[in-house]
Amino acid sequence: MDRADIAKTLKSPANWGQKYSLWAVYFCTGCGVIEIPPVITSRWDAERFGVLPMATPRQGNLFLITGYVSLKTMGAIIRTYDQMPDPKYVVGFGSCPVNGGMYWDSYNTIKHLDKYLPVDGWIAGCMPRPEAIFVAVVHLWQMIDKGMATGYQKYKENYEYYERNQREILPHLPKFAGEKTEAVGQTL
Amino acid sequence: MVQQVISMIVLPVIALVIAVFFLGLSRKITARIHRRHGPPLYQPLIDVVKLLTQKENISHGTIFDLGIVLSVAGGLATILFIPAGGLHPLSSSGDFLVVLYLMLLSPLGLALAAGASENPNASIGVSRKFILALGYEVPFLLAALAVMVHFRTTSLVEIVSLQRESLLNWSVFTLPLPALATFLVLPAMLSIRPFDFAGAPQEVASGPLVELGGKYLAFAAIQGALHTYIVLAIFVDLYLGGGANILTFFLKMLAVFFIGVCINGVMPRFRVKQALIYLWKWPAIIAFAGLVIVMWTSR
Amino acid sequence: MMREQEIKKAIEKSTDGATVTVLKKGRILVTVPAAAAVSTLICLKAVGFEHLSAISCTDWLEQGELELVYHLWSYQDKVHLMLKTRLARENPQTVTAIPVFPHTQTYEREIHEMYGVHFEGNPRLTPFLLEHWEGPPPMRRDFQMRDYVKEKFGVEERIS
Repeated sequence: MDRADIAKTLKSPANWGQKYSLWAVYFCTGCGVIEIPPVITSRWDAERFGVLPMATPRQGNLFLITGYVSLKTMGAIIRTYDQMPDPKYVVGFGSCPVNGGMYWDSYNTIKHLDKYLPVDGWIAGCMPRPEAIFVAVVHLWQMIDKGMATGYQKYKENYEYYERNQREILPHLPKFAGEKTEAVGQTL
Repeated sequence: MVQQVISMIVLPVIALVIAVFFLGLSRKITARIHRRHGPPLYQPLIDVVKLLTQKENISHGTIFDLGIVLSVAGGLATILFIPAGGLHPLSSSGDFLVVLYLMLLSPLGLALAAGASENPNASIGVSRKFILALGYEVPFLLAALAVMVHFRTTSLVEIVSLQRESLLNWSVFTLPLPALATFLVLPAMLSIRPFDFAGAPQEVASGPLVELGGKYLAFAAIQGALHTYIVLAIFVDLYLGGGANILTFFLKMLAVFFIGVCINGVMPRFRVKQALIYLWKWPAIIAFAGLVIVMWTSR
Repeated sequence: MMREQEIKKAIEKSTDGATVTVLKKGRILVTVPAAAAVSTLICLKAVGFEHLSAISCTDWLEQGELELVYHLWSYQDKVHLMLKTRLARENPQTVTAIPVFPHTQTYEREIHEMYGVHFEGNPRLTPFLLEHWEGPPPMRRDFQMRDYVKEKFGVEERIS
């Protein structure tokens, strides 16, 4: 790890902070989350990378979409992602966010997470091993250093594209917090 | 006069450095207890830098902002009244009572901010925090009263200087029962396990901190660190003879802190009812017995 | 096998129209017409089958029927019993088993959503797992899943 690189730290303290303190929102979206407890406990310690699980999206800046995303979960993921403060990074975990994975022909799961949320990186596998997760974290560090992890800016700039795709699969998704549609009582 | 002003500026800085160092040290020691490596010691610095450089800080109104400011300001103000080694800028007779009042200012600020955050988890967390405070104040104040009666003073500087002559003059040897009672409630005052149910991530989604992000969370983390410093400093001043200089003071605080982290690393979490029963039973009885003995012997 | 034979005799005595088969040790199969399902459940509960594990549904497309299977377990005899009934595929209706086992509410809700079976008397046949579903019941075998998926989620072109 290149934490001891003082020159890089002094050039951009913001990048240094964002890199070595990635707090993941502990929202277990799918079955892939079974690989997260081994990662954050003693054997494969994620805290030495600075990665901690956080209980609320207000405190998290890394969102791991673990496993398949059913339509109901997609609504919750969009709401959680909207609540996270910038800068935030989304990592697709497992093969289901990539192209549908094992559930590629299921009527209730989304096939390409990229159409609905800006994704900064993917981890292939079903399930990825903890070592693969750490490789992904290090890759994300390098992307943050180079300024390539700009998913949150892409989301803001192309919001019409993402919102159109989101509403295509979730027609009753309310707009930002506060707007009530007539069908709000039906989700859940 | 000039020395007082200098120490008024230097003491909060020293306290902040010690407090943030204790944050990192606690994570490292907890990790080693869990037989893993843990983050580097300067990890809280990275966390605070990340939180302060976040581009979006979601606020819930003016009271939300002011509550956070009040909590940090209250913590820093309290620090000015607690002698730390040779530094005691604002000390006078009665300053222990001032400290006991000011100690509640920073949790109150955090509670204001939590109340303004419109999240039921925050309200539950705040109510749990106040119940915990209700629990530990009883034995702590009884023990503190015993100390004040024994030394016949309400000034922390005098309490420290009266323990100065030799090791056996420390209150932990001359007033063993109040010291034991305060030691038993020290985890509750520090809000560490088994008494960390106020901000439990699993139960109440981090309690009062649930809606804090960005710079608000940075200040809340600083407030938590300052609160740890204040509690440890009061304990060292009351029972372990203060410190001849800032270095011995820091070493004594480190020793007490280490014991606290070890307790935090191995214990599970109490339920609220269990915590209250524990705090109001043996520590309160021991503190009361200590107070009675002190009042009897100092007639 | 002794105990299974005794149970078989007890079931045949207390119901009529029920066909009981002992498949092997610890496995019994009971087939009843649809109208007698809930009353047979009551008799089976009296014989000792106090635990309803699940209700499952099979779509016999060629025969034009839906088959409901109630999986029951007897703690005292350690026997697993399957109670099978058949319903017509068009407008399948039956009576709810909530008065006998209250937790069938969830299983019937799921079967209603996935197969389209209406359970008379179930107060909560509301959407459960699917989000604003407008198509046919998806677990039926004549549901064109690939076409539905292509239409809803789009097709990504192969890069070759």
